[in-house]
Amino acid sequence: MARSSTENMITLMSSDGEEFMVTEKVARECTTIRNMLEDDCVITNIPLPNVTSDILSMVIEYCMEHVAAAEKAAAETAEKGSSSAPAAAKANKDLEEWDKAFMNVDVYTLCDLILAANYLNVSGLLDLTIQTAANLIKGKSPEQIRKTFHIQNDLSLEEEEKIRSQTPWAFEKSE
Amino acid sequence: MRRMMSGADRISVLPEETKVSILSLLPIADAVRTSVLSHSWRHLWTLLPGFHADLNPRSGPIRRPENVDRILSSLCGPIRHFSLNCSLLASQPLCLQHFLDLIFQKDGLCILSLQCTGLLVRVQLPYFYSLKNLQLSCISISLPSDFCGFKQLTSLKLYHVVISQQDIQSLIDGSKKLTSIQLRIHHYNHDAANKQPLSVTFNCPLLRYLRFNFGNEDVEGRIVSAPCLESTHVTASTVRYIPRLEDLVSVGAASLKFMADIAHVSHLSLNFHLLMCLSRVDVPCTLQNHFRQLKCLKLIGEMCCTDRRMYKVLCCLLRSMPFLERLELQCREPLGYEEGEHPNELDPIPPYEYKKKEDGYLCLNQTLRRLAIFMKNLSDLDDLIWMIHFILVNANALELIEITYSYDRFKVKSRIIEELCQVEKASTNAHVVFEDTRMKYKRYR
Repeated sequence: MARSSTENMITLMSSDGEEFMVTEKVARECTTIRNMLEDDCVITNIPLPNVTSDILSMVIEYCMEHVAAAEKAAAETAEKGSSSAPAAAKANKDLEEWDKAFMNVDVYTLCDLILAANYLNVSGLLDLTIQTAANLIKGKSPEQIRKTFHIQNDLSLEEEEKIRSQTPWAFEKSE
Repeated sequence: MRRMMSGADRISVLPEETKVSILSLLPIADAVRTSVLSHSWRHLWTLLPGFHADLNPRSGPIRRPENVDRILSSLCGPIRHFSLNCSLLASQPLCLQHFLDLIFQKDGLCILSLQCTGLLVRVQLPYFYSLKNLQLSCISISLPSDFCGFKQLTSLKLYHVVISQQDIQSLIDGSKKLTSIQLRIHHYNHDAANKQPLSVTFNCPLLRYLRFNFGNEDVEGRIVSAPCLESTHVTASTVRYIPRLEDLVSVGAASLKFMADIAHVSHLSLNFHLLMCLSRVDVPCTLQNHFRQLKCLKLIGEMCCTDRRMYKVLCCLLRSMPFLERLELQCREPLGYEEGEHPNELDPIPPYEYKKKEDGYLCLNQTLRRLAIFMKNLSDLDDLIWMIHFILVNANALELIEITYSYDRFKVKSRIIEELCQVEKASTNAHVVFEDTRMKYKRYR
C-alpha cells in the first residue's frame, strides 16, 4: 500500500517464529490485537503462540482485503458526497465473491482458520468460516459428515441405534 | 483406521461454543443428526439457544408437534429464540400453548415468532421478561391478567392478530422500549353487540417506525406522543368485496385524524386503499404545509383510479409537504376490485386538468428532486401514467427519474420514452435512469 510508510507498522509473530509486518489498521481488524494496542499503545511486536505461519498469513490476507474494500467504499462516498446504491451493491458482491474463493480450502485449514479467527476475534472471518463449515454439514448423512471431517465414530452400534430411535424424524431423510 | 485416528479430526477439538455456533446455522434436523457422529457430539445440539420449527408437512422433517415438544424438552436452555411456522389443524389445537409454557419454564426468551395458518387458535402469552422481538401472524392472543408490558421489547409485529382492546393497549403502554411497531389487528369478539372500533393510542418515547392498518372501519389509532417517530406506513385494508361508502368515509375520517398526529415524520407510506378512503372525506385545507419534515413519500398499490377525487387528494397531500424530496410510486398490492366494480361511480379527470399548478405547491416548485417508479409490466404503467404526467408537468426541480421494472424487456422502456416525450416537462434537465432485473443502462436527456 502506497500510504503504508506514514502508518504505524506492527509485527505479528506466528507460533513457528515467522514475522509478518502489517499496518496498524490491518492488525486492528483482529479485536484481540486491537485490545492489546489500546491497553499498550507503544507495542509493535506481538507474538501469537496459537497461530501457525500459514494460517496467520491467510488471516492477514483476509484482513487486508476487507480493509482495502472498506477504504475504497469510504473514498467513493467522500468523493461523490453520497454513496450510489448500485456501485455499493457491486462492491459488496465483489467482496462476497472474494470471500467465496478464499474459502476454497481443505477441512483442516478451515478448522484451523476457525480456531485462529476465534482466538484473534476477527468477527467477519469467524462468521465466514463457521458458515462454510455449516454448509459442509447441511443435508448430509452422519456417515458423509464423518468422512468429510474425519470424525472417528466411538459410539457402539447399540448406542447409535438408541440415539437414532430418540429422534427418528431427524434421520428419515438421510437414510 | 489407524490413519483416520492420527489426529486428523480437527472439527471435534474446536471450542464447544464454536461448534454450537456452527450447529446454530443449520436447520434443526441437521443439528440433531450430528448427535450420532461420536460421543463428543452426542449432546452438543442440546446446547443450542433456540431453533426454527416448520410444521408444514411438505417443507420440513419435524412434521408432528410431539417432535417440537421433544426438542424443547431436550434443550438445556435458556431458550433465546423460537420460531414456528405451522398450519394448525383441528387435531392439534393445544400444542401452541404447551410450547409457550415449556419455553417460559426455560426462561430467557428474546425472540418469538409464530406464523400460523388454518385454524385460528387462541393462546395466552406468558410473561416473557426478556422478550425483545415479538412477531405473531394469524393467531388470537391474550395476556396474563397482571400483565404490565414487556420491558425489553423493541420490535412488535402483529399481523392478522385477534386481540382485546385492553390487551393491545397494555402491550403498547407497558413496553416503553418499543422502536418498531407493525399492527394489523382485529377485534377479539367482533360480532358482539359492542360495535366500538378497536382503538389504540400510542404513547411511545422511543418509537421510530410505525406501520398501522385501519382495517375495514374496525380499528382506530391515535398518537399521544411519539417524539422519535421517523417513518410511518399507514394503510387501509384491501378488500375483496365492494366496500360500503360509509365504511370508506369512517376510515377516511379516522386516518385523517391519525395523519394530524404524525406531522413530524420524514418518511410516509400510504396505500392506495387509504387514499381511496381519504378521497371520500373532505380533506381540509388546514393540512397545507402540515408535513414540514417529510422528505420521502411512498404511494403503494395500483393507482388506477383516475378519479377526480383521488386526484384532489394527491394535490392536497403534495400541498401539505413543502419540503418533499423524493416521491415513490410502487405498483404492488393488487386490488380486489373487478373491472367496473369501483365503489360509486367514477368521476374521471379530463386531460386538461393535468395543467400546471400555480400556487401552494412548494415541493413541486423547489424541493422535489427524485421520482422513483417501480412496476412489473406495461399495465402498471397504464395505471400510473396520470400521476407521472402530473409530476412531470409540475415539478420544476426534478433531477432524477428512476424507473425500475421487470419481465417486460424492451416494451416498457420504449413506451415510457414515448410517454415522456409527449409531456411538456417543467424541469428540462431531469435525467432518466432505467433499471430492470437483468440489464442496467442509463439514458440522459
